Amino acid sequence: MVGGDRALSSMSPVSAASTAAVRLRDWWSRRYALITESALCARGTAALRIGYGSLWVLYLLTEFNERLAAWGPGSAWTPALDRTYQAQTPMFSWVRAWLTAVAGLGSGGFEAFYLLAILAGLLFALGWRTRISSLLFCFVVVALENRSPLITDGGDNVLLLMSIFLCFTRCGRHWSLDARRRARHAQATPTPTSTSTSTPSSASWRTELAAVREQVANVLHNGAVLVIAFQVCVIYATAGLYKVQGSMWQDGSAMGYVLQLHWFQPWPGLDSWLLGHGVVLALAGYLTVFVQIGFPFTVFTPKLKYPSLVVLAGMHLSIAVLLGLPFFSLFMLVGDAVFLSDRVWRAVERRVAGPAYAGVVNAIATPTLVFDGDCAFCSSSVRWAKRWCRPAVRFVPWQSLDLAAHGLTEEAVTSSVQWLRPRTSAKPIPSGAAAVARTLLRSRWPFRPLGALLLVPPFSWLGAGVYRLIANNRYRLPGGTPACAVPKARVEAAPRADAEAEGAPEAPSTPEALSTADAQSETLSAAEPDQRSIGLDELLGRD
Amino acid sequence: MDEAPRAGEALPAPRPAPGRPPRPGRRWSRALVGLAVLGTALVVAAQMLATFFYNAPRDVVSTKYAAQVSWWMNPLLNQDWQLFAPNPFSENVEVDARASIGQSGAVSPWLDLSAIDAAGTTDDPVPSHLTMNAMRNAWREYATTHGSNGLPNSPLGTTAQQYLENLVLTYLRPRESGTIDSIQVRFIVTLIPGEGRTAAQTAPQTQALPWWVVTAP
Repeated sequence: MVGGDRALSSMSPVSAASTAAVRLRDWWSRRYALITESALCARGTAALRIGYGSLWVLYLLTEFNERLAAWGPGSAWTPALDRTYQAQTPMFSWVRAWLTAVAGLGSGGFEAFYLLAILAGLLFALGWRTRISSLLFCFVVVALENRSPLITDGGDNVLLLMSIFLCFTRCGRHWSLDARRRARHAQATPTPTSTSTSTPSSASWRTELAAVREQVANVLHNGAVLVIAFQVCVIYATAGLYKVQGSMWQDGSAMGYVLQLHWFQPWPGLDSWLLGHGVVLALAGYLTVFVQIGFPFTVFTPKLKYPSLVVLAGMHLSIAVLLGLPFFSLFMLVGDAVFLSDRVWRAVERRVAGPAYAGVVNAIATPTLVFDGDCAFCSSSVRWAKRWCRPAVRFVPWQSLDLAAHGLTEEAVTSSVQWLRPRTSAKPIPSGAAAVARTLLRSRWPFRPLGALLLVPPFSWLGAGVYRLIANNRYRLPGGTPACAVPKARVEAAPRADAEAEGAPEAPSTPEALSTADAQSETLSAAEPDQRSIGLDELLGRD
Repeated sequence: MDEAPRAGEALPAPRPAPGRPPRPGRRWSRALVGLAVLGTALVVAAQMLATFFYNAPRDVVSTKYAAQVSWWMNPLLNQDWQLFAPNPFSENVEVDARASIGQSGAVSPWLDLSAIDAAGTTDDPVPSHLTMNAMRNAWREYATTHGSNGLPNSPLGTTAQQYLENLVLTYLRPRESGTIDSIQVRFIVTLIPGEGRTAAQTAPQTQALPWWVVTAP
């Protein structure tokens, strides 16, 4: 286990058994590297942190007027009751002290604790010193939720569990004040490696310890993510599998009964309207139970996972409105976020940040559209796209690209535009209409839905046909001078700079436009040295 | 998969890729990481097993290892996901209370506490936990810790009764001017009409609890 990857050297792969052993070890060392060297679902846990932290703050603010009656020293669940209740279950004394911490507070102490609880939620949501604020958040959530156990519901239960599990995750890696500070620190000290090579053992010990700490943190994080995902699956499976045994869920009458309960009736008019649609209620009940039971099995395939999550989100939102349990539903809904992949979260990140901004911040992930620089129509189309669509995409003529290094052939690049992204080596490279659609998807607002539309089957076929028609006749089309070859080995700068440079009217000649763009890239590189230093090959380099 | 350099060997200049932290190179530090992997795997496996058997119906394993599962899950990790399962509630419970005031012993009329809660939640998108959950849970806790004869059948019975009494007093006190000497609570349970339920079954059933002398100030 410890030296899993060391075994690779001493193998003599002769028999089938030993090849199998090699494969197994290979598999294991890859898995081992995955759980020790990466924090899986780091953005998902960041979403959980922000979700639970801010919901907790909202919860405490909405209960602010009721806080004394709910948890204060004079609440119906008196401190004495709380102590006798907690004494019924055997537990460690420190746990008992934790659970009854709020019960021991006077009125002044309780007010201070309540403010501390709000503050803890804020700090946790913002990701301020997340290691510490996650512990503080866990402390206040567990203490307050156990102060009055009989006013809680399933939502409080989820929140409590997640606040414990999140302590072990690296939920501050993204979208946090910590992440911002780290990024600034990294900018301030760009080359820490030069010092570590020359200094003696004390520094190397320190880097070694930092490396161990990093990997142990990853291991704990990945374990906690597994526990969180498992917990969410257990919630749905338990709820679904117990329901399927109930006669009312079997005959489809359950939802009708639920809507008639006076306990969960914030909108009586809406309930009585829904009760007139028995068939819809029965179908909704069946769908709910089916998806709840199936959820643990659907999480393994995106094709089923995302539709299931949509159904569950719909279920939670209806619970929030119809049954008057908004926090219950939202706490559940946030837990589902752990199943959204990092790819989805990165897309959300881009959407929130805006495409052009994301291109500057995350230059490594900026995709590249490879076009034919010899074709006048192509070049002017690219200029038009930069001028009007302003996508977070690099446009590179294939003539200035090492085709083989990027898995491209001359035949491919002359027949259609190609879409290059880091880390897509396993999949075929999107080209033609699909590449154009992806460019539009990363463009300014009016073009984005168009790009999404062009990726969906009936329209994508249509788009592919139109693209082929244009591509086959592109030398006949107008748009620029015929001799618009691009000088070799020249890489364009980030598209945003071009878009800004071309804000003013300019001559339509393509070589001129490209050279102004290059001049612009020099000024850009002076301002942002590290962005300039990343060559195209590194940008597109496979890991 | 890159090969990890061994301790003592000449390390290539440690040039971590941007965003990728350095790996531990020494034997002891890699052993430490391995230990962390092993420990985490064990704890995660225990947590998953305990969670499963805590939530599963009573079975061979959860009966045999009930003490271990309970030790792991209680009190921090306990959970209950059976709201509306196997069957949802299909009865409406109205909690009423009345008070005997002062030395005169004048008895106030029945006060419908559930109607007060309902008025507090109606048309409110974010109702308080107090109005949504408190009375329902208090009733459920009382009902599950007391037998049909009204006597507690669980060590938590007195706690449940005391809590219900305190909670009812929070409704009665602001509405009664005199000092409350003792209180009485009754539950009116009405089955919601549905298929296979006769009119006799859906008639309201009243369960009146005995008078409780109020000891708390």
